[in-house]
Amino acid sequence: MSFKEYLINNFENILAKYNFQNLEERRTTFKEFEKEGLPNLKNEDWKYTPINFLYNNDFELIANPQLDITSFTKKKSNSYIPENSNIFTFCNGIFAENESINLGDVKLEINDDIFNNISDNFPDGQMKASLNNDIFYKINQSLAPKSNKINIVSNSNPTTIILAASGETSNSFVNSKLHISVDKNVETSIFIYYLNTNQKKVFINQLLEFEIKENAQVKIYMIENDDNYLINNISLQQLKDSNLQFHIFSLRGNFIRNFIRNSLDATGIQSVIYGLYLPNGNDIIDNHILMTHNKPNCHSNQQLKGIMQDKSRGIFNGKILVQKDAQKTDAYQSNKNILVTKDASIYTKPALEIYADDVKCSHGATSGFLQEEELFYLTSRGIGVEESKSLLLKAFANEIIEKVTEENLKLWLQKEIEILI
Amino acid sequence: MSLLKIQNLKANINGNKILHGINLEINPGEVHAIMGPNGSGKTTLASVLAGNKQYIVTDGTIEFDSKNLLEMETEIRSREGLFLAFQYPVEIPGVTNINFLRVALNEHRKYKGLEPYEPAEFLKLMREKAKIVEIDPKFFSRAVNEGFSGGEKKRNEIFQMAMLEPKLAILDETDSGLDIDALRIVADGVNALKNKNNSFLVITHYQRLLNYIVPDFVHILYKGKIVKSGTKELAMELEERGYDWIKDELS
Ligand SMILES: Nc1ncnc2c1ncn2[C@@H]1O[C@H](COP(=O)(O)OP(=O)(O)O)[C@@H](O)[C@H]1O
Ligand SMILES: [Mg+2]
Repeated sequence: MSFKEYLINNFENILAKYNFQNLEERRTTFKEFEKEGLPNLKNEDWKYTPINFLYNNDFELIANPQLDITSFTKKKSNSYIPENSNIFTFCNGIFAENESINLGDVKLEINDDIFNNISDNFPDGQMKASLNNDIFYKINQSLAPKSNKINIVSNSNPTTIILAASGETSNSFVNSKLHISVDKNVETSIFIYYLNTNQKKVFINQLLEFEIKENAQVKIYMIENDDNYLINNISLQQLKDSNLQFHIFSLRGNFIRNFIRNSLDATGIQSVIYGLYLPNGNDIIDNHILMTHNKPNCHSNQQLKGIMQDKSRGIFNGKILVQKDAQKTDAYQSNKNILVTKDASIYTKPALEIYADDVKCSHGATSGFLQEEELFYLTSRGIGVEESKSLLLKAFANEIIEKVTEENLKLWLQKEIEILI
Repeated sequence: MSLLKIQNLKANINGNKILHGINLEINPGEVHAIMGPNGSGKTTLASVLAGNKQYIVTDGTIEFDSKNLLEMETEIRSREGLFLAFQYPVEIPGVTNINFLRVALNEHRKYKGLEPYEPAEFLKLMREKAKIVEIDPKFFSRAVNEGFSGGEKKRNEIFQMAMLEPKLAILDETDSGLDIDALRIVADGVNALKNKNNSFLVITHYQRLLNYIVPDFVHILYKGKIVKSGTKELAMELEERGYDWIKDELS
């Protein structure tokens, strides 16, 4: 049975079993999925991202928490969690209160209102269409159990969010929806982990929304560090004079698809994305970015780097979209990759689409093997070939790690990279 | 017994025959100079000695310290005591000088069965050696050769040599592009490291450097062959009469 057939055959049962609300809206959305099916390589947004793991379905949808505490505790302790952090844990899309700590300053709201989306606030156009046409977004909207909202209301301790997925007996398919808003003038850091606390495979279909309000200063550290299958639809909206640094580290994972859609909807916004991905084995890592400048005088920068080992495959598809009103936009994008082996591959497509005339934009991409000249230089000083490669790769990765201002996280990342390279 | 013994060495790059049967023997404590016009094969010879795989050896033998050099990987040659100061030192973005040298020296020590350096001990050694080539310790934390001027890169090569203390150092046109002060620093560095057990192979286009590093023997490389060998007077003669003299003599 295919994944699609599995979902169609079980859809009504799932709605009933988990007592889902908004049934009519869910059914309407699901119908669209039923009609369109899963994306294939003919779809421009999925051209280089095969979802073979869904051809023969061996997942079972789970929408209640079944947290394996032993495994969870172990994985949590292997993660970097800053001191004095709020911790919000969700398992299979449901808030796990016992594994959470609220130090104050954060409001949590959980309801059934899953059709209330941040993208409703986006101006009409590509941004909205891109999300609304996303099949996994539709699946999420049909099957996410709850609308979870975290609201950071004052300069607070850092907040750690753990998105765990777990099933007791089977490979689990999890839909999870989380909305995070940071209020006006608030300065804060948010750490996000995806953990598989299952003994088996998990497929997480995540919808993550961020609302960065006026003059908020936010650092997000997203750490993908578990053997998941992960589809990660990230919608961001930034308001006037807000400043966002979004760091995304894809360290481990069989299949990761990040689609970051950021709508800069007012003036004076700063938005930076730093990304590092390190797939090995047969991993697939896909980063899609749509950075939309809707208003004047905003600055955005995307810097992503990848080290492709073994037979891994990487995809980068990043676009800077500058709308007519967005004069004086300053936008950059760069994607650099190293292929460690001849069997690894990378498909990179940076793009600019500009409708304003007074803008500064640039983009670039590079992919290649390690430089023979550099390797020869290092080995000529007595450093072995493997050690030389590792020195060069770590130096390459370090450029992104150096952007992390949280010193202890930087050390934690460097240790992880030591293991991975 | 000789430290380096090259016999009938022939080598290609990209299918082009460059070296046509080189013979050269260097004893411990000796300084040899190789001079020759551009394109004569000086860098090719140096690269073959260091083990650059772009160059293919098609004939001949090389003994280094009584061992078969051609069977050794590049890093082993280094650990056995061979050092090449590159004509064009390579920039290594993101790898600091200190980290680079620490890894390199500790690999050398491991090869000799020694424990790695304590960090403090290592830093002390680096400071001492930096003095010899007048390198500011601020350079330690900068990426290897990145953004260095031509002269700084050459000095950094000599600094690495001082750290690694090779038995045989090959300096490939370390003098080219240096002003007179930088030249003196490089030469003083070499002279400070010279002793009766280690040897130098100084490749140069000009005689100038040989006023500071006095060679025991001078060889002229022309079209991939050593066409003349002599003492330091040969270098003087070459300086006076130019390379055309050799060309005329050979034709
Ligand atoms: N990568 C290469 N491919 C083909 N020919 C090369 C390459 N590198 C050097 N050569 C040729 O080899 C010859 C010797 O070069 P080289 O050893 O660098 O000379 P030198 O150092 O004496 O100036 C030259 O004719 C040069 O053009
Ligand atoms: Mg040369």
